[in-house]
Amino acid sequence: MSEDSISISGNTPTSFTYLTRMGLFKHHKKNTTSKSIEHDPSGRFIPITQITDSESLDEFISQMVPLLHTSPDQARPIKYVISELIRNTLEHSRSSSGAFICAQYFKKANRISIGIADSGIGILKALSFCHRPKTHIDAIEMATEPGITGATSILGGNDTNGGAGLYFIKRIANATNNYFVIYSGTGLYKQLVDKSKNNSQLDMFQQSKPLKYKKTNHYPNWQGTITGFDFSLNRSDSFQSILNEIKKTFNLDMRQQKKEVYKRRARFI
Amino acid sequence: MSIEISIFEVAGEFAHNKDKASELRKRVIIPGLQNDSAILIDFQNVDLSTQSFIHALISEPIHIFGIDVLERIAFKNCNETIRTLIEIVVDYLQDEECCVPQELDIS
Repeated sequence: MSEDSISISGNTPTSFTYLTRMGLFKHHKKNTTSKSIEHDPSGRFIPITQITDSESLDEFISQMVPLLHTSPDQARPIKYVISELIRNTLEHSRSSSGAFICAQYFKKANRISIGIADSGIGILKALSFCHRPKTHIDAIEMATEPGITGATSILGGNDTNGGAGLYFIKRIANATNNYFVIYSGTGLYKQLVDKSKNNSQLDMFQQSKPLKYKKTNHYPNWQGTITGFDFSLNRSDSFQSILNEIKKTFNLDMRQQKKEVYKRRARFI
Repeated sequence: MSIEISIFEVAGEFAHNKDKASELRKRVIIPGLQNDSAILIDFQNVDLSTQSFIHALISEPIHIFGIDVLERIAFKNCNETIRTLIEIVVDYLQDEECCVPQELDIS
């Protein structure tokens, strides 16, 4: 077997066939011995797709939406989250290969999972140009706060970046009780699905409370950033109602953030 | 004089490409405001946008001319979602310390 080929001896695991069909090895320019019948992916999955600039992002989103077979209102948050996550990668990761995205529909759970990966500088390095995060997980948490961007040290961002992209996404995940994960360097941030919650209505009460999530700074090092988002299609909330909730919490969270960043106070004697 | 911009013509029904927003801002909105024109931003046929797109479109004009520039910028044919996104961005831009006219000497 040549160095450009990958083969599995013995029984081929289904994951190998799946990864082959998703195009993982093709992007690594590796041939595989896995033979699979390539069914039409429409409505079931979107193979790994490389996005290197705004134009290819535009093209991907316009081609992706019909493949999802969702209603227009279900498609709105999906388009929104994909656009913002990939824009983040293109603007901040400094990855020469851009972003890689794939999606899978899970029929039993009636859920679409998307994953986006890059092999860029990671969130810690990207934020360290303008801020002082100490660890990978510090940087990830900082990046999800409102007004923080790697483009400037000024809270609230600059003329191009408002530092609100990841904040919106974590709030969309929270409001809709969907899973959201960010993995960069050795840091892993996971917003989990709360199974005790009514999963069919927007969780307005939870929206006004601090977010619950799991975090660690001891994952195996990933050179770059990976994000994942699950969209439950069982939900009936409109994107408009989600935005209304974010509107309520954004200013409160921004003010809290200012208190934490601008700790220096006037002295009165 | 007023200048009308069709977002649909520039960015399509999902207005999310920040490069296009930045180009509109630099080539049309800011020069128009410098010439004392009113700016009419038309979202007819636009179904969805992003906070990043709206920020890239209006943040710099507000930073340069001050928040009162919104007296000379109007948003037309916005659906409820786009209206909410614009309101969120305008709210947080007003809340920023840097939101003062550049001509003012604050030293």
